[in-house]
Amino acid sequence: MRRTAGLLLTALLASGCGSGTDSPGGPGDGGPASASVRFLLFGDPTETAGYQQLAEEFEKANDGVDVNVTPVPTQDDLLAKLTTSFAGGQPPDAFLINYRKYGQFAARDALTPVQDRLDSSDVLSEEDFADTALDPFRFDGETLTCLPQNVSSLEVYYNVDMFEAAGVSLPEAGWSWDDFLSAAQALTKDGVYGVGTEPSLIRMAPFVWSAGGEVVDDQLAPTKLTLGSGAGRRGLDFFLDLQTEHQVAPPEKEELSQGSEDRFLAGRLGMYLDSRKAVPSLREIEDFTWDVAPLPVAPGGEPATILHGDAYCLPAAAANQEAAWRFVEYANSTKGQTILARSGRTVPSRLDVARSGVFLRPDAPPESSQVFVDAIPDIRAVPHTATWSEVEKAADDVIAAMYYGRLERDAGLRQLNEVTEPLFGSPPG
Amino acid sequence: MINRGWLRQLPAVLVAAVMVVPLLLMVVGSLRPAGQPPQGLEILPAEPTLDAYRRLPDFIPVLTYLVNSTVVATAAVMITVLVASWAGFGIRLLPRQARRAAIVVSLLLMLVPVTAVWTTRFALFRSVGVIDTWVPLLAPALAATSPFFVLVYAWSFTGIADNQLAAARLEGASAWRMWWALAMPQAKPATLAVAVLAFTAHWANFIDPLLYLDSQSLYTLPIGLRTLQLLNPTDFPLLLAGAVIATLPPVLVFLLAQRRLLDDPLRRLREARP
Repeated sequence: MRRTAGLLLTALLASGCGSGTDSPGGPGDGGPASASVRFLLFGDPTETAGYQQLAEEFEKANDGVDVNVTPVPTQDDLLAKLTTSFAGGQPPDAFLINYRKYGQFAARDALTPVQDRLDSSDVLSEEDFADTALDPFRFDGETLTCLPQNVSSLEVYYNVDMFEAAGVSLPEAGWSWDDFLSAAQALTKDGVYGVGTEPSLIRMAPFVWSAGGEVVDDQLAPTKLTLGSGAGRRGLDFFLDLQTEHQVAPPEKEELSQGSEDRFLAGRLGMYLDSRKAVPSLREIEDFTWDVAPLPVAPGGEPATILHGDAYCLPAAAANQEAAWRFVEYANSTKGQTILARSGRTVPSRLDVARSGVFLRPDAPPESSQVFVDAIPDIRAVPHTATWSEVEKAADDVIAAMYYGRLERDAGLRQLNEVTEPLFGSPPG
Repeated sequence: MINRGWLRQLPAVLVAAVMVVPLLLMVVGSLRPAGQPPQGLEILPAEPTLDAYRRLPDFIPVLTYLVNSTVVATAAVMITVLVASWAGFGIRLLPRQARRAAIVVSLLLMLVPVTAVWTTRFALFRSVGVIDTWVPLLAPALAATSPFFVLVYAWSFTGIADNQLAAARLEGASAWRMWWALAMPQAKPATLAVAVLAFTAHWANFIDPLLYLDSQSLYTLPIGLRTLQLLNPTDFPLLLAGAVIATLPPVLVFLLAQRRLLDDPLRRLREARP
């Protein structure tokens, strides 16, 4: 589906349908002085409600500018709507998208880089933001294409009560793979599993990095996956062994009957790997205490985690670029990010807001939100090229097969390269 | 001896029983109190509550979506029935050779994947300035929603004898009059089938509102339902409550439609059986 839409996008952009200086044809009531910004994002109702509130605050502060928040349910829905509206010549004025997905638009010059506007802004400066959040949104490696909203990362959520009942010492910063594994082993008993995770490339990547390996051969112009070669192999093995060798993670049938997040919520999983987005859901837990800890570090390796970040992008064909930027600027001011931080769902990309009480000391768990702030320097990212999301999708199928023992490891590694290598090559637009 | 009529209905009862289980689970699940981790199957929750239905409007404007869906689906069904029966009757009036060609073309059109027309439709709707209105949701109805509905009518109208049409023509009846007075009364089951299928198709349409609407105030239920899927696993009763609300109208439509339209022809069919 996404592929088809991508091809259509290419075809239409190539034939020059993206000129789009004409005004959008919706039912507008605006006089000449007013502008309307169409802002597209995906998320669940509570999440999008935060953006609705942000838009209202912005409208109060900016007379005559109307923000029409268009929420769509899932990321796939967002991409379908984006590709169709880009190709159809009427993209939204601004949209929020993950760093692993925006490449297909940037590669076709369909986005106006925010660098110049950021440089000349009186409200924002580049130093306000975490570097590790900014870098993946520099499409060419230098110019900032989109402005990051958050700097979430993969961490370990754990059931404190379960740790204490099993007499396992609680995770601390700098804990090692051995500590992690022995905790998982001690917790795995009576139908309870020690650790649960999604078997995917982005979950495995931090382990590879921590062991000193790389995910790809070249971050900006990757030609192949290098997960299984060199020092990274140790990380790949450790991740897969959790299931195949040590069996401290639920096998496939169990995972299908109850996903790791549900299992953790039900108190039947000791540790659960996810980004900050899990927090609103985990806050519904009443039966036990839980907290968050950093990912464990490879023996002799470096701490590493992976970015889960979204940014505001501005389509080049948008009708109201000036008004759209003013909205994005407001959303990323201290005030704007504070409004969004209240949901507890995101780690603000602004360091001042990330270090403020709004994020660190709400009246709700997790106790150790500081973990997300401390992790910021150790955050790394997978590539953001035009075809990266295709690569990831193909890789995830193979990784899942290896993780659940359906595919022998060396054969899996060969297959991993076979299925992904052609995808790196396909040139954008 | 066992009643043979009852025996004949047994397979139907069994199939219906299997089909009704998920519906039952949906209703039962919607009565569970929210905020509890999801559990396995249960016949009735320990403390059944309508809490999920009360909380639903906090998450999505369910009433707005329901009204929007009803307006869009109702209008779309009426347009679809009109256009599909016109086209089907048109095909019936064609000479044999041309009729076959028209049917083949309709079949071929059914093979075009919807994804292939998203972008062209978007560009078209944009050029006439109807993005973010209900026009794109109703536009497929102007093309009978699906070639299949045209074929249903075309097939159904083959039951009209050639000499009946010739007689009507001799009496000076126009094509419109023949369609209304001669063809439609003989195609009530087809109208029922097309209306019900078109209703469910438009009722469940997710992709068109997703692609062509920007304003939440115009959204229809499928978008709301998909949004509810993203709620926490502990809020599952909310999703099921939304599903119940989304399921009720098609069920009502079917029950009403079959009573009005299916009653006579079926009874006649049964009685005609030797």
